[in-house]
Amino acid sequence: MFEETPDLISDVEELQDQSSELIKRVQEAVNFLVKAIKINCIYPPDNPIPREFRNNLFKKLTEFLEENEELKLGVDQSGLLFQDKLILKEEKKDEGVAFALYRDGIRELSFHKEIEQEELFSFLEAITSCLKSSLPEDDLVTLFWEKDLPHIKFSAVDEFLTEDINDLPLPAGSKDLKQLYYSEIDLKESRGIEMELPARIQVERFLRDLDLVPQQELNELKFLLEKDKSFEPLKELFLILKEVLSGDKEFSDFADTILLLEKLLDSLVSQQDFCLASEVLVLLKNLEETESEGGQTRRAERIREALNRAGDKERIKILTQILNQNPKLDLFSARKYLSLLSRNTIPHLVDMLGELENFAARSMVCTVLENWGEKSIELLSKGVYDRRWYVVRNIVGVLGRIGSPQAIPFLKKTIGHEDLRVRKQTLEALSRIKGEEVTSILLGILEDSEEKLRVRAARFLSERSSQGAFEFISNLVSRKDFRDKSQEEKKILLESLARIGKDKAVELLKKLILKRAWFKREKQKESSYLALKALASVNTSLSLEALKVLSSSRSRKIRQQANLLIGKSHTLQKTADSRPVETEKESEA
Amino acid sequence: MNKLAEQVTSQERKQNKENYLYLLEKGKWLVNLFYASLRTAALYEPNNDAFQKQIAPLMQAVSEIISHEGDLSFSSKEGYLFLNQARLRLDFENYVANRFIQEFTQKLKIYKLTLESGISQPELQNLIYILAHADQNEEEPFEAIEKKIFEQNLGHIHLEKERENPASGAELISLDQRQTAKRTFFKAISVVREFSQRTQSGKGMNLVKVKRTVQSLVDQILQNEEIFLELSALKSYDEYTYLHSTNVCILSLLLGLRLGLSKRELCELGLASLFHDIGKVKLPLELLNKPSEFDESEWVKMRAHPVMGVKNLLASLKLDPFSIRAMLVSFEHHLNLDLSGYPRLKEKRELNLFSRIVSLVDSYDAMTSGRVYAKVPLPPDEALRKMFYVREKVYDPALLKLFINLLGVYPVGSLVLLNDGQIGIVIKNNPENPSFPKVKVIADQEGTRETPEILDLSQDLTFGSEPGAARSILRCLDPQKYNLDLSQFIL
Repeated sequence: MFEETPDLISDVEELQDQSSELIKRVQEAVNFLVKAIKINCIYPPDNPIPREFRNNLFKKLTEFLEENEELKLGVDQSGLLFQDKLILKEEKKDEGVAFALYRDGIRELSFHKEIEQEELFSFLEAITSCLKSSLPEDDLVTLFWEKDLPHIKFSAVDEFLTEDINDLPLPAGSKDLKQLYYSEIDLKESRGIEMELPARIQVERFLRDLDLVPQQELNELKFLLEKDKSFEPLKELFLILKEVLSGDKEFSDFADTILLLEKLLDSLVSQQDFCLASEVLVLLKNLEETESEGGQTRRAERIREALNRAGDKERIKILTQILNQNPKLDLFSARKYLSLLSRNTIPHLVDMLGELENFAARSMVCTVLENWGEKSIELLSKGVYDRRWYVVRNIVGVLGRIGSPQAIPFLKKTIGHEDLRVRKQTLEALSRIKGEEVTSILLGILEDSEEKLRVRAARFLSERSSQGAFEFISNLVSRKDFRDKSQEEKKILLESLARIGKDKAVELLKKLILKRAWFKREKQKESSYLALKALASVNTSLSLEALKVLSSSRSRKIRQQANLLIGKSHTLQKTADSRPVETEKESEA
Repeated sequence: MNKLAEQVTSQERKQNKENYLYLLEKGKWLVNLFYASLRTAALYEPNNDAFQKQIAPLMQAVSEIISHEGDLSFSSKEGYLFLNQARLRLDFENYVANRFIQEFTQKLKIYKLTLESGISQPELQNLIYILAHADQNEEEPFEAIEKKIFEQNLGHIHLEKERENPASGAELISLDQRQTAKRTFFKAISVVREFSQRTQSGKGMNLVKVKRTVQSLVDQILQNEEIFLELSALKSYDEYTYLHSTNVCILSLLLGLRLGLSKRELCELGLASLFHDIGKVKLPLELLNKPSEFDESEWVKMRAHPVMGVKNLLASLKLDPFSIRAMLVSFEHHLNLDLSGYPRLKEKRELNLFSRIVSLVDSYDAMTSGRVYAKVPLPPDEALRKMFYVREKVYDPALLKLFINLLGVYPVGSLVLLNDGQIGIVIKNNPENPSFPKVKVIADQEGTRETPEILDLSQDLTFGSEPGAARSILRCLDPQKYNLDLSQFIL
């Protein structure tokens, strides 16, 4: 007894040591596993960091399995267990690996010897995709099952599969039939009879005809199998619904199918398949036309309802989220889809402009709004009252590109907007609209407190041959404070004057060139030179005559400058006969 | 990990993948050659020309793989055949051979067969001959083969015996496969019932439950397809529509398996076939169970069910590839290959693979059940023959041939009269000799047997050992003629 006790203790100790060593190694392997999963969730799969983690995990796991055959883990809500001991506790329960497994019904997970790298990586891929997505395509049990992992096994709780089946109805009256069999079957009939000829012939012929599947049929089958790999579910569904719709005779059936088409449309949008979604809208639009023409007002009305719903506030909100979450989305097809929506969508698209985070997407929506054109200005212009300056700017831009005078009342409002960027955009928009009304607005801007706006307005005005503009600018440049303006503003105003007024501007420009001042002489000189250049840009015989006069001016600088401009004017005329004179002047400027 | 090590790992991975693909491709070739050699060896002596001709390409394949891999081993695990580390895929070009080798090795209790570098053609030839002539009924077939290999000094060949105490869960389940299969079968029926009832009352349904059932069916079919072939022969049931849907699902899965569909595709196919008739849920029961022929107005209602199916599924399920495939199958399953049938189409289309599968399986089950369309059931063999001779216009010809190959000339569940007067139910098809399946004898001259005898007609020696002396099937019987419910012999 005395001799045996120490041995027993040492055995127990040894066992305990072995057990704790094993647990330590399991813990290590599980840590590698969890880390690899978490890193996989953060980085793209081809990044070297998760690759390294995956490789390390594979190494660690295969080492463990070489010695222990399997690694069997229990799954709990809060962690992973080994031999009923918690070896991994997850703090953030609902984000953890164990919880993801537990949530989908997995209660035990085991890795087995001879596991292959590809297999382990497939497992990681499945669990990562599930953890990464808030709405995973499938649950983990299905994902693991589909991946068909021979060395990774799991047991899942599926209550309905383990329910008792005793309650299921038994086949009809099998016991009675057994009794009937005894009494009714006439076995004598068949005893010793040779196989009946027709039956024998039929079977023999069948077997002969059956033979082997010919190569052509096999190839067709292979082709069919291959083709099925590129099965496009939503497209197929669309084609079916098209067929179903064509067969609907009763209104209630028709309305049902339209409802299903709406469901399909929602799915297509959420899956970002805007090409097919556009096809659905085209189908609905064409159908609406046909039904209207055919006097089927109720049907046509139902389709219009569907079309309106496709662009309602809620759906546009979903679309906004999609566009924000996927900056690399195919905007061309998204644009096509939005363009097919009804005009009732316009106010929601205006709202959308305020929510979109990406410039390209905003620009796409603006193009859609612009394409609706003149008829939609009333709906569109509500956007100019939006509290967000950037929405107003976008709407103003759209109004400008539509270029309709109907937008003028709204642009008049925005030209006084508190944000300079909106005012600038308004100016651009106005410049695209023809008519005297816009010219007078632009002239008003020449008195704006913001120089940049004044300069731009002057530039736009120079492109309009307006008598009113000539008179307004004439007055402006004649004013005493004109010389105090910046060089750029003076230049554009004088150029505009020359361009609009042509010969009528010559006298005034001459006057400005020769004007003398006792104070701020440098500013005055600057104005004189700019006026001289503007005079040269008129490029008529009258302006040339005036330049010649100035070439003999008392002022040496004016003289020199006038001579230079005369020389340039001649050279340019000789070298580029075909080019319009004005263009030459512009390029010189 | 440094860059060099990373490069090495990535190269190794690439190499592994290439190797795996190589084994998959060569494995298919090898399995077919191995199968053909075993079949030939069973009929001819080793010096026969036919046998020699068969061995030469097998030797070439073996040498090629060994020179690439170092050695070659076949093993059978959990319903799959492995070539070295690669699990070979089943498809319609190697299904029969693959299954045959699995069953064959299982009967001989061989877990692994390894051929080492340096193996010669005579060695391989002798091995094939030994295997082909091994007595499967011997008490210790593995030891007998091993002894012969040793005696003939086939030094480059090694065998590993099947493990007595399988460790994996899947193998433990196999102990009670029949019970599990029946349970899953009835679960599938109850899932169809539940789904139909929910659809009828306009409620939605979560597909997870359905998917799990289909996954379970696929897993068990992979383990033992015969049990499910037997179960699918069940025709009498209080709730015919649900039983029919389950049968169609099982037979479609079996056909899908032969086509080499992936697990995900099988799941899609299973789900679609389970709900192919969901458009019937709102049809009155009197119509569905009408014992006589339909009149025109009733036909109009019946013909609406494919479209109703689409609408029902679309209304109750969220849209995903699974549900859409189910809608497609519902819509197309009464369309023939030449697009005749119903619903009438406005535009020409090509029928989907899954619809083609379900269409022919549905027809077969309906024809042999004698419920909705044809009120008098046809015996299974007759139904197949009938389908075969209209195949060009109605069914996909290659798929139909595969289907017949799967079921046999006398499908499992057929009630047959043997030429010795006994009556049996076909329980296993014999792809090598379709006229001679395995039969469960349920009745003899004295009446119903207390304990049914299992009879392999291809191995039967009742009338002597000469070729052609075995008992054979005279003809199929109509169980309904005798009010006989086969379920009592199947379940």
